[in-house]
Amino acid sequence: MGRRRASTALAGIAAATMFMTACGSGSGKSDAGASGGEGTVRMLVNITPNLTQSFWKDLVRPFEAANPGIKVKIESPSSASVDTTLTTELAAGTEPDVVEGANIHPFAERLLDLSGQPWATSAPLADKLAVDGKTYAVPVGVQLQSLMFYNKDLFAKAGITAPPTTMDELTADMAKLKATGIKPVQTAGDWVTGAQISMIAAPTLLGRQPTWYTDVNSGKTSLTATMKPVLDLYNSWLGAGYLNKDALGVKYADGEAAFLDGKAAMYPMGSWFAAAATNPSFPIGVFPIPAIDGTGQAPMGVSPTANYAIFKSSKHQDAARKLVEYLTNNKDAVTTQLKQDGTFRTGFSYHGSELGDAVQGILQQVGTNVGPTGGGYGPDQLPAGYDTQFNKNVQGLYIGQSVPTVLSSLDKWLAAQPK
Amino acid sequence: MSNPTSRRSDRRSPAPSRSGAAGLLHTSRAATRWAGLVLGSLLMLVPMYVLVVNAFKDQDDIQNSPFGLPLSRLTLAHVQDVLDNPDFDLVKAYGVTLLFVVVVNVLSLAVCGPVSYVIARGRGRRHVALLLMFVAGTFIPNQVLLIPVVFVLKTLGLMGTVPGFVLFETCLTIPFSVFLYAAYIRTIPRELDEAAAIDGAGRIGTFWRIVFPLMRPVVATAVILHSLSIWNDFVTPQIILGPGSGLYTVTTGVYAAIGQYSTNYTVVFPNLLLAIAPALAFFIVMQRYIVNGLTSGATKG
Amino acid sequence: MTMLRRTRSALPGVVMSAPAIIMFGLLMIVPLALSVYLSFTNWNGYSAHPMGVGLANYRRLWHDPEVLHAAWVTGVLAVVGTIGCNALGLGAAVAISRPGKANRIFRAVFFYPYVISALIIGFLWSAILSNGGVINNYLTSHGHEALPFLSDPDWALGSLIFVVLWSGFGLTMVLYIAALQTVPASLIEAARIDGASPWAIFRQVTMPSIAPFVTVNLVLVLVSMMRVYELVLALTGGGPAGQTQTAAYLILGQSFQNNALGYGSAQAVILTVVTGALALGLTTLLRRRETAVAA
Repeated sequence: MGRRRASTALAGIAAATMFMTACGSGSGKSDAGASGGEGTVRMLVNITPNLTQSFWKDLVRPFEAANPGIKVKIESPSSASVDTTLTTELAAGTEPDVVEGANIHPFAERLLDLSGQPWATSAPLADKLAVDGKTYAVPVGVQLQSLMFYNKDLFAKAGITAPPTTMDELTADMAKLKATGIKPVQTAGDWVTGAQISMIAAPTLLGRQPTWYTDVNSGKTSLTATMKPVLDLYNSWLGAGYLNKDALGVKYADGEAAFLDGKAAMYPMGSWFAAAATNPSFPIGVFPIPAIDGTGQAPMGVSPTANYAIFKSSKHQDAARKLVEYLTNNKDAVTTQLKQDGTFRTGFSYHGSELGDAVQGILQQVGTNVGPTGGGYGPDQLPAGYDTQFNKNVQGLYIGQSVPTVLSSLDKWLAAQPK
Repeated sequence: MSNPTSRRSDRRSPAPSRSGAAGLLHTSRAATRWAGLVLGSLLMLVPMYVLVVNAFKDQDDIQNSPFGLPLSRLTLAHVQDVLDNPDFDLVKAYGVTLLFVVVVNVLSLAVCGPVSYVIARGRGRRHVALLLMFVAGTFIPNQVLLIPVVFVLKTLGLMGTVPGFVLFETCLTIPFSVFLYAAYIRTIPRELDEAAAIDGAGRIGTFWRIVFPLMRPVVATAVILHSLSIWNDFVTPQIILGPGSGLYTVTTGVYAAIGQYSTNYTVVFPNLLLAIAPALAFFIVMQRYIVNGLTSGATKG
Repeated sequence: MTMLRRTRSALPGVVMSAPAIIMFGLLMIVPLALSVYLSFTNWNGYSAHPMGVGLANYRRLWHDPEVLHAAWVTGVLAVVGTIGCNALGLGAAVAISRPGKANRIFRAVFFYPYVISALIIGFLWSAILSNGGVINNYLTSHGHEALPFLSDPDWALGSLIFVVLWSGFGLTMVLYIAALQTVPASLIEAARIDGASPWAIFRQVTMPSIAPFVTVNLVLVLVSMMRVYELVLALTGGGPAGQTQTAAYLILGQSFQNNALGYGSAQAVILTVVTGALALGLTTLLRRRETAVAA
């Protein structure tokens, strides 16, 4: 009796060990076949409502078909974002072969230098992402950040005939909308609060101080010194009831849905919204967010999208390089990605919606007068976690914190970050 | 688990017949008690009701009448969608999580049983110290350990792997297991060991053949409680398994499945319902053992 | 010969203890020590050589409004959660401690959240309490104003505490029911015959008998309140405006997000020390009272 029990326990342990060894070999980078561009390439990607796991799998399928030796394993973040997941993985030594859409600057030395590859260096914004002149990240296209989408019907109802071109006009239009009984601007909680403020701030910050990122990073200037006018303006909108006061309880998807339901006249959002607004029940227009002091063309906040980078630690560098070249240069692959996420790239036009074409028009109009928003990119980048921290702090405006309080706690945070 | 007190009847003898004010007071107190209990139960059950009915409703019905039960419009479609989700295979996650539960429990037993025996039978200071060390582990918030554990597992080459995850989960079971087992083994007469020793059995043999079979109730307790905590753990698999392993447990999978869609209630409710269904079923079947197990754990303390 | 026999008899004990000791040492003690070490560095998670920064991380803690706020939230949870869970748990236990079918059902109903993952409980209550959630949908469709359960900082903290109590008091109740069964029925009977009121019986007979269980329960709940993480993640995401971040949430959320594992480790060390000290202090204090009450 006792003997049987003991042997059962032993059998259990044996089974457990076998299970563990079996699973152990299935994970991480294990299989060999480094040369000749073969093997399984692990790629960590962003998952969003636009970019689902199925989208990514479909995207790489033609590549796998054309390269029989290579398999691509799509990995989605296990934490809130690619960056947070990647920090965990880097700490753990389990980083993937390829990462999409990460802030690569802090760990550039761990990445494969692609400077010698013309297909990489010619990618949009690749030069802006370069670290010490070396290309590590290859973007697919550009997303416009500082855009204001608007409901043409509601604008007409409030008697607004043309979209505003200065901040004063914008504020005046908000007042008109409010007087007509229309909610002027749709905001939201989640990450949206901070992102929208960054989008609104970018034209002013970049217009006044093109070296803003470098200056903030070096401590030459502070947020308190530079961002106060924008936050004061935003706060005055909030006080005047132009922004929905319940924003912090509104999720990203709810905010988007509210605008698409015609519940607000304007919605500050990046160009990916054009891809999400597929069948609007009213005509949607878009204009670039103006700068505070401004006549003339304000700079446009942009961000590189789907920038791909390869880790030096990858055992399948050739395969990974082939994959990244395919994803950033193959016409079909690039166009599919551009279209899916409201992204743009000169030379790769696709037939989007009317709204998409309008965004494309703005991109052509601003030309090279562009710069980063929020935490930035490439060398123009604030410390990791800035966007989250910024979001948390500016949400304080909705719970009655003052602009100086918000800015000084952000400055304190910035000062405490390792350089 | 034989609860030493459960056998004694604690039924109070029927109160002598009351009259007048005392009787009224008694009735009103009973009424308050019932009202409180029923109200409390409603508060406990309404969320579960909301979860279950809304898992079978369309978004419009969920939004317009969240408490309603439109019998004619109930649908299995959204539950089916969860099961068919190409990004997250819930059935596989059930399997993976269940395997983790089994493996960790077996390992935990193999690791904690013998050491508890040594501690329970030991008379020296070092045995007390050993017990104290293990039990002190209860007070370490396990999320706090995760940052450095990442480092340790990396050094061992086990980060992002199933063995690494299983080992850490097993380690988390040590404090409670050893505490329970050692206390229980002390109630098993030493004479049994000594008889086995005279028969020529070694200590290891004595433990597994003589003592271990007698530990069935306490092992059941530990297994039940560990199973629940492994099944429900989120942060450990999130960080240690990570995306590299390609494995989802029920909790990390549901987190990923809901994450972007927290306002689409036809995604949220069915996912949550399917995630908790096994644990709830387990609870309904094993209710007595779970409660008794917990009680015995605390009574020992 | 005797020497040989002694070593031989010690060997099995070592063999039997070794796996647990090695595992515990490697995955609990070494990490704990590593935490302490990392807390004196500015390790970002991937640099090969963490650089020592002395006490800088600890000094920063005292001036970091986010950390101080998280400490406050954790403190509120610890106090309100511990007292609330125990009051509710004891109250429910007294009400339904007697055997019987109805009481068995009540027990199951109060206890069942224990078997559900905190993450899932958080998501469920978020679906119920958020602005577009179940309750507010109901209110707005019946012509009432929506309530800011999760979007106002004070409401959100209240909601968090409510959900903590909702999901946590059942365990305390079960443990108190067990405790009540250890109270000698003869003592209660004697007090009743002496004409003591039910409240007096509870105060003077029941409470002293279950005092050790009160200690265990208070400490258990306190320790669990110090590590609330998943619930915050799923219910409020730490918001609005970061106002419901707990210590554990901040440690895990911030360390990896900000590449600040050194700073996160310093917070972790403090949390561990405070938890241990509180648990130990509370135990000592209550044990002393137990004996005082018993005497």
